[in-house]
Amino acid sequence: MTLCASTGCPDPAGNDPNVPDEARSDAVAAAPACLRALPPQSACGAVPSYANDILPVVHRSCVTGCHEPGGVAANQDLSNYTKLTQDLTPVLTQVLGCVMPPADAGPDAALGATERMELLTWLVCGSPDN
Amino acid sequence: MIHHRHFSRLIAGSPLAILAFTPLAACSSGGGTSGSPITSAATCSSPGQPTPGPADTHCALDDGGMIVQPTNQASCTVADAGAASGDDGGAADDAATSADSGGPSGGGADSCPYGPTMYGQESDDDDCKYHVKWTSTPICEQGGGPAPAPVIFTVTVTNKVDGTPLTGAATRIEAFATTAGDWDAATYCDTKSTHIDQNNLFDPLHEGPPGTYKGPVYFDQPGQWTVRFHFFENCFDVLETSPHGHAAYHVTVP
Repeated sequence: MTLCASTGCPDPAGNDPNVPDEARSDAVAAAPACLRALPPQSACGAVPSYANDILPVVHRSCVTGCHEPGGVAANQDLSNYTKLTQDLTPVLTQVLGCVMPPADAGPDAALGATERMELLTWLVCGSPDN
Repeated sequence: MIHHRHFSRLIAGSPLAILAFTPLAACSSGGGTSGSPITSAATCSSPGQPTPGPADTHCALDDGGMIVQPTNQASCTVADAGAASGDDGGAADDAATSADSGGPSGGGADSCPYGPTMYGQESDDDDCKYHVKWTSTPICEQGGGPAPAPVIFTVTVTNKVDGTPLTGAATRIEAFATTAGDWDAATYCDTKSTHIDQNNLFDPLHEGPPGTYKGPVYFDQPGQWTVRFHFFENCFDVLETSPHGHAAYHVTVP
C-alpha cells in the first residue's frame, strides 16, 4: 500500500492554496472523521497501546511510502517509536488540525474517527511505549 | 557584506508537513483566515512578554557579514529528496545553536526539524531566508467562559535577499506550552510538547498588508510557551532554496 502518489504527497484538506478559504473551511468542517478536539485528560486512564493500536495506524497512514527510509518524506522518518516520539508537537498539531494525513492521499491512508482519537489520546497521554 | 551561503536544512519542516504539498503556482497564493471568528483579544492586568534572552544572531558571520539564503518558488514543488543530499554545511544551524544561550550547543541539534527557539520579537528565520518581526495584543491567558479570548499575533516578514515583503506565504502559527527538558536539553529540539494551542489548529493566517500576517493564539495556561511561525508550509522543503521556513520565539504567559 502506498500512501503517497508518485508525483509526491498530495495537498491535505485545508492546505491547497487554490481552494478558497471559505471552501477549505467548509471541507474540513464537513469531514466527520476529523473532529478538531483533543481528548480530555480523563481519557488517559486507558491509554491506547503503542504496539497494538498506534503502530499499525501510524505505519498505514504516515509511514508507508512517505515517512520512512526511501519514502517521499524520508528525512522525517516516523517508522519507529524513537523517531516518532522525537517530534511529537508537530505530529500532534497537524493531526489535530486535520492537516495530516493528507485528505487526498487515498482511502487507505485516511484515519478513521476511532483511530484518530486513539492516536490523539496516545499523543497527549505521554506517548508510552506500551 | 552579504554572503550567499549554501546550506541545507533537510527538513526544516515539521515531520508531517513535507507530505502536504502541492506544487506550485499554489505557493504564491495568499493565506486565508485563521480559525474561528475572533471577537476580542484577551486582556489582563499584568500581561506577559517575549521571554527575555539574547538577541538572535544565527545568521551573522564573524566578519560582520550575514548569511542570506535566497529562495526560489520553483523549488516549492521539488519533492525529490535525493536532490537535497549535497552540500550541508550546517553553518546556520551551528551558529543558531551557539547563539541561543538557553540551549547547549551540539547534542541533537542537527537532527531537529527546526532551528532553536529564539528570544525577543525579531530575528531571522531558521534558514536565514527571511527577517521576521512580531507584535501582539497583550499576552494574557485566554480566560474562562464559553468563548476564550485569544492573543492576536501580527508577524511581518521580509525576504533577506532584498528586503521585500514576503507575500503569499500562507503563514501559520503553531503554539504550545514549552516542555522542560525539551528546549533546554542537550537534545534541544522544542518538539516534544503535547500541550498545544488546540484552538488555533494551524490554519493559514490572514495577510494584509502584503507581507504582514495576523492570527490568534490561545494560551490556556500560564508559563513558558513557544510560538512558531511557519512560512510556505505548503512547499516541499527539500532544496535549500525552498521558500519553506520557520521562526520560533519564547513567550512568557502570566
